Amino acid sequence: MDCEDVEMDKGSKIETLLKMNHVEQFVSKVLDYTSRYNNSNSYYYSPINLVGKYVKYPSYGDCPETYFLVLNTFLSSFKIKGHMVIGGKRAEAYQQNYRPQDSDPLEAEDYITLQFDSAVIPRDALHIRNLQSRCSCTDLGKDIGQDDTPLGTSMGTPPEMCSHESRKFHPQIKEINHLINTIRLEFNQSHLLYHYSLDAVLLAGYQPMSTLQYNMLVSGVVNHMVSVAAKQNDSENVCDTVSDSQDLFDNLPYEVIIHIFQYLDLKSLSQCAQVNKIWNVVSADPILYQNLSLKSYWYLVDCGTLEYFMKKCNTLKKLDLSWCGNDCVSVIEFKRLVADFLRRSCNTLTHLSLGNCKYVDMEIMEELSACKELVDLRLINITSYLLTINNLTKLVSLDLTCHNIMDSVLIRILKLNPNLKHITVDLCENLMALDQVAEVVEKHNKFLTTWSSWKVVTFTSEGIKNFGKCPYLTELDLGWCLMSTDPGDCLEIIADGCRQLKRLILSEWRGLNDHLLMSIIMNCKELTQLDLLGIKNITANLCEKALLMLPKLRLLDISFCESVRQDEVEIWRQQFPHITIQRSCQYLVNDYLN
Amino acid sequence: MPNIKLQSSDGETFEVDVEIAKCSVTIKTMLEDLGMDDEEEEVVPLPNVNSAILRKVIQWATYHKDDPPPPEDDENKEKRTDDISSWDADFLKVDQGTLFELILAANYLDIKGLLDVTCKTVANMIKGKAPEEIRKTFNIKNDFTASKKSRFVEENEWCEEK
Repeated sequence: MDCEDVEMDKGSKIETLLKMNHVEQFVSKVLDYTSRYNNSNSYYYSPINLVGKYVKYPSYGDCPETYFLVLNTFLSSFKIKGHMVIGGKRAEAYQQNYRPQDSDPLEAEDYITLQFDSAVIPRDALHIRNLQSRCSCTDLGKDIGQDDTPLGTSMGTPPEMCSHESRKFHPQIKEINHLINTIRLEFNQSHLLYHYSLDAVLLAGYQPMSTLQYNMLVSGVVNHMVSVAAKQNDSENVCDTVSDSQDLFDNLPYEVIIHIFQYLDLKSLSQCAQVNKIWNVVSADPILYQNLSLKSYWYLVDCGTLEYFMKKCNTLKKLDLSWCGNDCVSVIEFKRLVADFLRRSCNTLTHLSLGNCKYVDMEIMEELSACKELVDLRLINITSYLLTINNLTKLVSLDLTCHNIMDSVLIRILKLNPNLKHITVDLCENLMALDQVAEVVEKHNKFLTTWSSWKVVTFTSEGIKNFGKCPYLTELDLGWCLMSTDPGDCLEIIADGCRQLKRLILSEWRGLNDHLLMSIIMNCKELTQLDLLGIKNITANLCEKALLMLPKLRLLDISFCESVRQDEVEIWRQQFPHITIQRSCQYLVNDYLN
Repeated sequence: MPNIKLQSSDGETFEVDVEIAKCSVTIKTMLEDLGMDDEEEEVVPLPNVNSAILRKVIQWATYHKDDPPPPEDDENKEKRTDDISSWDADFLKVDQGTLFELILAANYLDIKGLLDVTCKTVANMIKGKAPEEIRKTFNIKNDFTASKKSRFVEENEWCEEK
């Protein structure tokens, strides 16, 4: 395949100077990811589909042979028509960033780390995707140095809008002169209507032709030459503005400067520390570091960073270390520091998120368990160790997406934490007896408002009936939970007991029909989102009733509902412009099946 | 609606709707403590605010008089700075001296909404700047000794992209 040339002034390029080999290569290994659509044993939509050459391109549509990211409809779809319903909030409180002033400009929610066979000087990273999307991507190259230090080189691109066709996507990459064989793509799907689907990723670049060249590159000699040349143009003009106007900050009381500084992100605070003596003192005030979120700086965070912030945080309340530390030179040292950090903060810490932190082990779990004030705990994509958090009793929100927790452990947590309101156990493959779990929830967690067990398939209708006794329930995600079993009357019981429901996800409940769903439409008038993906028996009649009789409805997903014709959907879209009606790209799927 | 009179430091008097004036917790408390509620001819002296700034403050308070009361819960306070309304952004297109005087006035008068939005504006002027650029922006003198400076630079270099 041709790699479309990004225009460059070739003369000064390192690859030209050294007459390096041009190489194009597809992914050889998927190292890490934050999001998957299916259980780990399934190849459909799995990250592993990114390995090797594209298989579907240039056909466009929903193809199980590609990689799908899970689309968080709550965070995204509502924005599509500028609705942003639910009180105009960005997300429900239990999903919010711990430190909003540090939210990354790309607002990346997911990443995937990919390895290639040969290390190259990167010049083009090409994504081949099969679904429309607006997405922003940051590629962060990992340097192949002598000690394999992560370099955290950012090769960012701004978000862009794409049309309804499969396409090759060339993010602009920053010119770097290191050998790289690993890249990480970060995704922001907030403007998507449908899942982001990737078919392949191609890394193009230049390879050294000899061992000598290789050694020069690895040792950084060449890089030094290039950077010296660059610096000459970048003359620093430190101009002394000796002006009569005074320093306006002199007049501001300390607490007002703190008030200003509390809006600053961590990077800016570190810059402020270097301005003058007063700023150095103010910017180190522990009150500015009560909530710490290093997720958006994951590529910069190492042991030194953690030590730096540990000194400043003496009353830490919220800590988000998601994505951090895995690429550290010494992961063991990093882990030890995290444990130390938790130990020091155990009396004040209320919120903790350790998403994708591969080093989480028994030691960290023990420290975590001693943080008795915890109300919000997010352990997304942590699979290596069992949860034994017996001391926690104040939890309100628990997110264990892709965790390997087992029923007995979960049940113990539910019993110990009567105030739990938000429970997420999406894709927890070791939960074998959700019916029992739901029974415990109904008895012990009276205030339950959110339940999500997407793709956990061990429910029966008997277990689901328990949610009918949770009157405060506003979000219920049971997508793929009841695929082939008979739903019985569980939906009627939920409709009767959960009048506050705002979101209801029933994807692939194949036993459902119009009659069973009518009870929901008659009773749950607060519904803003109803997901009926893949329910083949429902008719256009039912969809029309949902559109007409649910006054607050904003999102109706009827993807793969085969009894509903596309022309009917088009008419509804005209009739109900305030409601987003989601459909899969069915015609194309049929196309490719034939 | 009854009006009250506010007097600036330079002696100018402004007649303002009581409800608008009460968005300042300082004035509200003063009125309650002193029982000045019904006295029409009473003048509230504001010795820390000059007439130019007081005029701006009243303009801001009048525009925002129907805003919902700010949330009490300090913990969940919105810390983003990209949510300044276009009216406020226009209102705050002033020179730095005025902006800082508005901050001081909002602090003294205890008007949370105005203090938040002015502080956010200053925070936005700081964000993403290097130390030297910050000094330039606000006319701040660098009072570090060379050795201290390098220590502070070293300490805070975690965020420098390598």
